[in-house]
Amino acid sequence: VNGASVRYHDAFGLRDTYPMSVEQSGESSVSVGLDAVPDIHSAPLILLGRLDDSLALKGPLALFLEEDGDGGFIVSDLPLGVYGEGPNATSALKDYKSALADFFYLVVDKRNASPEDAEYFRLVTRYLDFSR
Amino acid sequence: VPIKPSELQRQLTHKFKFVPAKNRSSDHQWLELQLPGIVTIRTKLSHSKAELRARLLGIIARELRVNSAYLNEMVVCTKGQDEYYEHLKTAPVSYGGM
Repeated sequence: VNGASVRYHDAFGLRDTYPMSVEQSGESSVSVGLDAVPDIHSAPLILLGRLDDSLALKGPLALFLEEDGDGGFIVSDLPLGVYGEGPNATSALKDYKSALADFFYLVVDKRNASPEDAEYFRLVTRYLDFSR
Repeated sequence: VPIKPSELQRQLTHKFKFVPAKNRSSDHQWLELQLPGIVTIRTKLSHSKAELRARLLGIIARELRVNSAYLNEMVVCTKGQDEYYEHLKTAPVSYGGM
């Protein structure tokens, strides 16, 4: 971490410095959340830190950015099956983060609907949960 | 078969009895299907007005616990509600790869 940017390496060997939000969350820990990404054709991304004022990821969440074939971009994750879309990579990522928060609240709202939903809630909270 | 988000929404709500979810933000529209004995199925509606591209269709199909070919059949009416509900009883639930 260097100031407000992070040098990012992806699995395809792309290297660049992208704007990031860096949040000090304790004396010895720093959480980093992606705010913007370039419009590359496809790339794995790692999302960390807070989603909003009340939700935070519990650990790194692997995402995949790709073109949708129509000039737009899609960001999705494999574990939870949530996606975001937008005319560029940054807006797709923003849409994804918003959708992930929506998804979590929907899972929370249904957590007592059935034993299966209760179990699903428990598993989803291994990835994200309310932050303090 | 090209599928527009509006057509997918129409089929999911009318034929498969998905209902709009009461999500807290107005950024997205979600549909949910709650059936006994299975985890609530939920899918986010695409913002796009254009036909759904293969990749996005695949992601949405996964939310619905089917594959893209099955989703196509749901929309063109060769898969009906009873068949889909029966499929859900045995379709694996993605628990985050765990």
